[in-house]
Amino acid sequence: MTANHKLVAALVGLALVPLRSWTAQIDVPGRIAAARNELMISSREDSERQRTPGYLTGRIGQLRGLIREEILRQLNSGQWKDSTFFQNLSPALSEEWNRPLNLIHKQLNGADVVIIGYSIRHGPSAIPDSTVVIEGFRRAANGYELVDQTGEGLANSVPRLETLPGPATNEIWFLAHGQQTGVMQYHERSRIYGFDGHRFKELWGHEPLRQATFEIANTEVRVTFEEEESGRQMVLTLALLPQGPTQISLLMKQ
Amino acid sequence: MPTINVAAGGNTSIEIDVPDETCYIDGPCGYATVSGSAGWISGSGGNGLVTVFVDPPLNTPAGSYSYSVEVCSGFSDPDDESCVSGSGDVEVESASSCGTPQIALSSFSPIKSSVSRAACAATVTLSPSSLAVSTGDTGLTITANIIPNNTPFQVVYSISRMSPAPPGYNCNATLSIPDGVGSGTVTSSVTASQPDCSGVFTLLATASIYSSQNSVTVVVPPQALIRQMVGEAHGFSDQPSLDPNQVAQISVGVAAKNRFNLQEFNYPTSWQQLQGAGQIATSTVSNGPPVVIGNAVAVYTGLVDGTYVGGATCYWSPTTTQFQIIQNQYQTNPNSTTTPSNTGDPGCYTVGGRYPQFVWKVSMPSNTRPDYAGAPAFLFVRNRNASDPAIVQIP
Repeated sequence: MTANHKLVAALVGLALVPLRSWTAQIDVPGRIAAARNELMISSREDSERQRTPGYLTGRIGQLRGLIREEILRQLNSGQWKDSTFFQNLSPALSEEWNRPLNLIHKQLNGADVVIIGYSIRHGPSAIPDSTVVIEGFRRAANGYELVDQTGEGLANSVPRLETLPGPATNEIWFLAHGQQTGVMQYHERSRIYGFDGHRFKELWGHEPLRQATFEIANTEVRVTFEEEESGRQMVLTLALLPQGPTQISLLMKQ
Repeated sequence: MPTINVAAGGNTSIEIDVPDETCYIDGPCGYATVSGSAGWISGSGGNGLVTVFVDPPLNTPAGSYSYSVEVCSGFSDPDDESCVSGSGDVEVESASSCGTPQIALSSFSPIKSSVSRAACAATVTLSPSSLAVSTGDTGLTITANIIPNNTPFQVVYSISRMSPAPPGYNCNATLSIPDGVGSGTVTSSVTASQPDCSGVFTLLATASIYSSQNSVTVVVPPQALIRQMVGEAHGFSDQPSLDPNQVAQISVGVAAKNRFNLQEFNYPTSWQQLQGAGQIATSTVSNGPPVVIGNAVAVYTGLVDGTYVGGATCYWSPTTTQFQIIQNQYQTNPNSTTTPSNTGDPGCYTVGGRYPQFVWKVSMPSNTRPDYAGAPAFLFVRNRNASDPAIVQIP
């Protein structure tokens, strides 16, 4: 058999391999990139299109669906670790377009649960808007499945998720906070959520706070921020009580 | 006949009693004709009373002009008609001198005279030469100074709008300035409406037939721009000594304006739109505080252009700590292409293969907020190539 014969045989062999699922799979990042580009405004036509009621919601929904497919594929591959999870998802999710990427992975009530948070940037490219996606997955008999999603209260921010020492053992409490997008002065949006393995609950939230920093202690969350008008540094303290995060003080910083 | 005094450009009239002639019918009858050495002398009358009217144009040379009155009885029947006549002078003064109109009576028998209000040649100047008006302002005025100052005038204003309006147009403001009446100095109030509308106007005035020698430029800047300046940096207009050149307020207004019609900002066309999108600060100020409105006019009319902030479109106020990160990088490696982190910058130009460049305007005053000591009130952000330095300084 000559070299040419070997090449032909190899090509024929390749042609006989069922490629459809493989190509569909490797094409997902490309589809995600295409969907992502459609969400950015690069012409007046794009601008008009994005003003059409429902257009943006629909397109973001499609992109979320594609990214979720990739997340589920990764979760159900059986070969992932917390430390490498997002590396394996790149470029479907990237720091440039989806920062910050968040993963909370815990055993809850005997079940393996995963909370993933990221943002989808869209709109004007110099100062994009941000849709925040927080999705909860639970391992069932047939693998991981999506059980709930949230994040609407954090729209137009890029939040990171930090687990809180909540008082309930049958719930994960976490703080989501991050820079508000689209505004010139540094503000952070913030929410505290609970997740019981089936549903998210928004437990606390605040209007954007200027130059906010968050400190998590054993049973408290302390938020330091600046008053808008006076510029005074204030400290808001939340107690993590069984009935929910409760503001116990708002004092000027000493 | 009386001598009539009038200024060029003015007018006056006198009524003269003339004798009734015997008529073949009972009662007074007769008719009068008035003629003169200049076409601006006219008049008519009869039955014992003649009115002489003079209105020499502005360019009438000073001097003496004659007029005559002829009164004839009857019904133009040559056989029955008898006429008497008399003559007098009209003394015309030059346009620049204008005093109280006077009539000098001659010894000739007519008998009675009267004078209507005289107008005279006038110069009208308006002040100030420019005026900034917010749609929420009241109490702003324009003054017409009229010479001579002893003659009452009605001052009527005409308003023309600059077209096209400067960028930042949201809607066309309407300017109102009522007519004024007075002598010497006539002051009229100026107001603009509707809120959030803007425009640039040229104002002229006329007093009688005289147009003002100058015009007034009235600028109504967008209220959204004023709100932005106050919202971002009111401290620098409250205490102008902190920022004698008003760099802070002007800079943020210009940076926002630099976004107009840019695709990467979704084609905004006004400060109002940027505020509506939550991209720039706002405030509740509804008028044009002193200092701020001057800054707004400078930005709106383009007196200060986009290069003032190096073409930057975004801005923020770093805290002392955040600024030190930038300052350290710039001082140790001014050509570094690494965008520094934890600076509090607004995140402009960070996706889609873009790179932000921080613009440090060295003339920017220091921030006055408690945790911002030593940091400039604002830093700016513009797009750069990957190989360009991440931080630059501009004057």
